Amino acid sequence: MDKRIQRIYVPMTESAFYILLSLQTERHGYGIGQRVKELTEGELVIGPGTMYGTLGKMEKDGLIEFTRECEKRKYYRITALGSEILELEKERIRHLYRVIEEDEV
Amino acid sequence: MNTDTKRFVRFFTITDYEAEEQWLHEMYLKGWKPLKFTPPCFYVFEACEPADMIFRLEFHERSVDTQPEYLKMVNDYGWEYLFSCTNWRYFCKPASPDDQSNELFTDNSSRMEMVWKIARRRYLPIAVIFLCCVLPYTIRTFSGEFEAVLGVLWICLFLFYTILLLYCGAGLLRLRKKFR
Repeated sequence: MDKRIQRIYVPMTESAFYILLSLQTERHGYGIGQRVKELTEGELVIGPGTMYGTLGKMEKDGLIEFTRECEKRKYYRITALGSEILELEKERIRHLYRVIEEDEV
Repeated sequence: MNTDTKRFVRFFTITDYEAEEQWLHEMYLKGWKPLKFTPPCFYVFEACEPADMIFRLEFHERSVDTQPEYLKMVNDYGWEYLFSCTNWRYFCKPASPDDQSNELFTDNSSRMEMVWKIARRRYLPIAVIFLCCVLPYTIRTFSGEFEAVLGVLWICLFLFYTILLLYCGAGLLRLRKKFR
């Protein structure tokens, strides 16, 4: 994996994590925003300006890819590289959780 | 055109966009919707039903015409695109009780990115013109034979640029501190 990509995305910001998680299913910008709001029970809202910028960067970095355009909406999906990074982050979170649980015993 | 239009003059610098957003919000509460803006300070409003509208200005180096999918996304989120002027895009949306829904940018890093864009594309060129043109010429008017009219002109220009640069420089620092 590109060292630069790893440096930027590991560990990941909460926004980036939820966006990549949502893009395991093909979605468009607003759809991703809705899904993230749903997953976080309204705690995390990603505005359109922030969303557009983040999607552009992730596409450029190869974490997501453009799939199709419908009614002027661009749809995206996670790539193999994106899935790899997401799995690294999930593993990191699982480990954190285990440490917390063991610490509380 | 049947609707009433009215002209207003108000000056906002490149770092006072938040104040401009607040002013447009207050105007809409009085029943005035922005129709057009001509720099540096000429606004045209049209009469409308007073409402609690949130305004947000976005500075972007590209024209919004090159990003139809962005306009669509912004519309999906409930924003109305009004117009663009000198790289500034004007958006408005009915106010929502949820603060986060009233923002185009919801994290400090993307807010800060916009501030950097403003600094690079607006502040830097003005500073360069000042250093390479206004400053040397002002010094020149004083080193040679002092011509009253030209001298006064350059002093005024020099003062104007200095004040503008200092004010906007302070504005950029304030925004940087806010979005850290």
